[in-house]
Amino acid sequence: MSQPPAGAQISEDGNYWWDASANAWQLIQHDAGGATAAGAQASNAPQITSDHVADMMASAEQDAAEIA
Amino acid sequence: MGEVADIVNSGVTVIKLMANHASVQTVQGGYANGFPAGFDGQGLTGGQFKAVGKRWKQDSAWYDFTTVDMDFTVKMHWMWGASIHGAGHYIDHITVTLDVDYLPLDQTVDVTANFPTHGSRLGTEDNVIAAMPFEISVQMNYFLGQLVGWRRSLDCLVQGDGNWQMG
Repeated sequence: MSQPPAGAQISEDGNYWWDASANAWQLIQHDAGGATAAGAQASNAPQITSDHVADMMASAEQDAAEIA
Repeated sequence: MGEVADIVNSGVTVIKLMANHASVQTVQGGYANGFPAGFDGQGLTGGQFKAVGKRWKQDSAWYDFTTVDMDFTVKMHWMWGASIHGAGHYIDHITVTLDVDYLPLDQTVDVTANFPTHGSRLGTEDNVIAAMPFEISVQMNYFLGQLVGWRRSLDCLVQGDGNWQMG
């Protein structure tokens, strides 16, 4: 088990990160509280839910347009 | 060109792109097309390129800790108006790209385009307009103190007459 580096791609279930150097998924080590090391680094960040992210992405989304 | 029975895609059926704050990687690239069945691309003439993009851009105030800044654009590109022996409006070089102007360290974007093996035939027998529907899925992963995901599917269509849909 290992900790994902910053910016690493994480699996949809949150249990693995993509190790490009090894070309393989690596299991993420979870501590007793269930937080990852990357999560621990951001432990001071507010808890944001998927619904919050969905709202944020909806507000960020622009209409498709032709590009000159 | 005789009667056109079907419009087929003899190119790629999947394109995969990945991005983080540092780079955009093409995991699986290439081009799709929309030709008459049995046509190998020889004798295709004319055509012009078009690009259509959908952008996600978020600028938050410095004190807003619940909003994540980002700026990226998913684009579809294709050549339209190509003809075979002077007839028809066919499509070639259909592809998808991802441009990233800004992503934070703890955010990744995955883009996957899925193309069918058959498209649609519009227009008339004498003036066929090829159309190719496909789907682009955009997936985000965040580490905002915890893993949070988001996914959006875009129903896309490119046509030989230059018309399009992306949404």
